[in-house]
Amino acid sequence: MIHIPDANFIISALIKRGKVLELFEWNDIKKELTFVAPEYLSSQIKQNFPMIKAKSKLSESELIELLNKIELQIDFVPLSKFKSFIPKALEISPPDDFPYVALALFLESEGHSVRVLSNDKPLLKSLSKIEIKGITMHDLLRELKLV
Amino acid sequence: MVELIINLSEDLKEKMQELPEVDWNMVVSAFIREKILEWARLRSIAGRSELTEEDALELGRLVNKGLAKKYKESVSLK
Repeated sequence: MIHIPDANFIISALIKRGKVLELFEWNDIKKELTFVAPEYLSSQIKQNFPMIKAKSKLSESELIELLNKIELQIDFVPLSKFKSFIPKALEISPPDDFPYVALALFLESEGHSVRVLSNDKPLLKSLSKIEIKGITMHDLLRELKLV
Repeated sequence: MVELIINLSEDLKEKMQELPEVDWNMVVSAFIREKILEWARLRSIAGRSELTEEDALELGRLVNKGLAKKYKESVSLK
């Protein structure tokens, strides 16, 4: 099973005593989960560093240290690999989430079982309508028996 | 001291045998210590964060918007 973490999920790793960071720590040792994300997600998160810095009150070097460690566990797939799935994703996906949907469609076409990982419940609800599986962090932790 | 038993692939075992001068006990011990310290440091950094779940949702949506724009530009679907 491949998990596609969305921006919300990755940013949630920066929350004080948050479970997402714990999950990445657990997986750094266990290597049980495979994380795959669309190209440019990392650079887009970094583009929003000023606001993340302002809200978290962490320094840029601390944010970089945390995110770099998390991103080591994520395989960023180049757009060129799943570009052909963009038109379909644009048709069926919530407007701002089509890169995740296109990547999910590509991975499914390769025979993988895929889930989008997000705490954004409206997003997960929209995905369920187009038969893309999604899961919240809490449900994933429950599934892994970590809570 | 405690004893740790680990399972290794044959391939890895062969590669280790090619380096008989290495003290693998020290290597494994240092690796474990480093991992523990590294994650303790990351937990300590995150422990000072004032980011909330609501902030993460808001920022996540902002990033998704930027990502979608970048993709539309990249595939000329503006």
